[in-house]
Amino acid sequence: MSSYLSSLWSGAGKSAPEAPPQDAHLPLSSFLSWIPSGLHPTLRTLLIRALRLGPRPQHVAFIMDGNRRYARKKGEPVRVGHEEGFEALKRVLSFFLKLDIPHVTVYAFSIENFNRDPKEVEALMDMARVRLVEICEKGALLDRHGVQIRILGRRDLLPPDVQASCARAEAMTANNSRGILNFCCPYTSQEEIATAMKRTAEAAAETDTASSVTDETISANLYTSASPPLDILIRTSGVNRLSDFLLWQANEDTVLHFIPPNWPDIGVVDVLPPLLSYQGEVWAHKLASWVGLA
Amino acid sequence: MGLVDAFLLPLQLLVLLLLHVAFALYRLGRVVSHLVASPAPDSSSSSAASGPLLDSARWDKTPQHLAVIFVPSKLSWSFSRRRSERAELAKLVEDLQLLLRWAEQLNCVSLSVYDEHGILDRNAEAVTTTLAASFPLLSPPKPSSTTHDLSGSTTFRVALPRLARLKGGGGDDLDSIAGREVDSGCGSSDVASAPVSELGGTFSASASTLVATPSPSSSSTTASFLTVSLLSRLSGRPHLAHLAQQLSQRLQSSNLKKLPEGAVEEVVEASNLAEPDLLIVLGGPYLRLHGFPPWQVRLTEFYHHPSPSWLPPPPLTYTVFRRALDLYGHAEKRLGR
Repeated sequence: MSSYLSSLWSGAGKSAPEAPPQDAHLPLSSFLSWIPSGLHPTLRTLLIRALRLGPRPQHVAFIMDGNRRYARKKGEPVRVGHEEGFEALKRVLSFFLKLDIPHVTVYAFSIENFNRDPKEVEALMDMARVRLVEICEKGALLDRHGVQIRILGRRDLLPPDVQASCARAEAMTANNSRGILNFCCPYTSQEEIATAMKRTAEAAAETDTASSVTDETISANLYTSASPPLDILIRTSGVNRLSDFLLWQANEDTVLHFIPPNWPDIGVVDVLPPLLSYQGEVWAHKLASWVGLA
Repeated sequence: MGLVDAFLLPLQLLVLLLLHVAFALYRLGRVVSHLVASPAPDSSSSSAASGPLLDSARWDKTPQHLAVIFVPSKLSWSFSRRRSERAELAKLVEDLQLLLRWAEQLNCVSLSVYDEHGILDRNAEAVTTTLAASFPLLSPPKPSSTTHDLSGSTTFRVALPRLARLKGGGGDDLDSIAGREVDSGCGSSDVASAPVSELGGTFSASASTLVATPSPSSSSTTASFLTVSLLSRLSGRPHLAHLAQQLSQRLQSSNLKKLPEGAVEEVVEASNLAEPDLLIVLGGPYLRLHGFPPWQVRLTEFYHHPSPSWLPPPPLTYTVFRRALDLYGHAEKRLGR
């Protein structure tokens, strides 16, 4: 599987050191492997162009679950699972940004995850130190698509040098305005809601506007307030829970999709059903209101 | 470049069309296989009133706190709104009766039932009167009245005859604890007791308080109860906004600038809505939460029974319930680790 994956994004860029950082491509899927790999880029571009003809969601969230299971299945250490997971994140982001879906929120690290094996936590912090800045560099993924990164959550719980990397990454992309990548690390939704309620209550007390506090006021005080309402939430590895992620944002109209593959194995075929469902619903809604129902 | 794009446009449109056709066929195939795979409910082992019996041995674990979202239909299937509300209410009460039967068999501690439009909550009196015919209610239904109560909801308790149970703290080995309680013949003397009439009136502050048995009986089977909450949209985000308002007023009157640590969590937890272990979303073409209280679904397993929004809402059947329990019974919780 990994050789198949690497064949999809050919190693051509590795020979020339001055070559720009190569683009990451979301693999089609193992069951479409009968299609010769030379055709994959064309197919992928065609697919993206075709999907762009229809409506696309404005804000999609991912719970990147299954890195450790992926590593265990391959007989690799857990650290490798997380590294593959980060590469998968780049591939998925690249696909979504090409589709013009400007806001993506990802659950990178939960406050509860600090309870994990210290070696694993240290490996994750190491990745955060280096990789975050890497995707924000000139010519890299976020720069190419004009996307800002925001690190959401209790940053004060991170080691100081990781906090510095986060600040650097944010500063590097602060002027990008085409979209936002909300990188939740370390985050829990109840902490976010409590903080938003606290901010709302304190602001209302100061300005004596307690009677005009509504749930919209609280929404405006969430960490993700700069992004539009959440349209789709996708969780990998077949688990059917939100696990303290975007509980407020996903509460209303967000469609929740729980898909079987582990996060590093995610491919185009896995993200198509949520996107096609979204398009189908928007069209059905337009048709219904045109015909005069609902 | 424009010419190439113009040439490619029909090709792209064709691809888009093909994708949607393929997707529609795939979904149709799933619906058909869903219908074919589900056996008809075995009506011979049950009566119409009590519903089919659950085969509890089938599952590794069963939910202690159960929740169901009833998704209304997008279209109104009746001419008058009052008549359609009455029809919806009748359907909801029927489903609720089945749920209570199953909750009893599963030894659930709490059951939360949610409908967006608040039909159940608005008609709580009528609902409890109908239920009282088959289930002994421990107290009259208590709508939200005090400041900390969950807005837009009604709670009542149903007595269910079974071994005495400890309330709260998921994951406890309840059978052995209950067994120990009963064997030692503690009865109600070691238990924080309260007169029956007060049980429904106040919520105990700590979720792990032992609950009094309402009537002294033989030590082997003492009645305990199931807390049923009828929730509406107001119990969700609007309730949290309401709490934020209260906190703000508290701040103003106390002349503090900032709220103390944990003040928000304390006030949210005071509304005492149980965190469901399993949430069944009945209806709707896709899995959505439709405004169910956001705070409590942190670790909840979701099961969705799909139904097109233009059809009347689907009934809660044994097959659907069993599938939801299958999903829950095999799930593994890691809690961050």
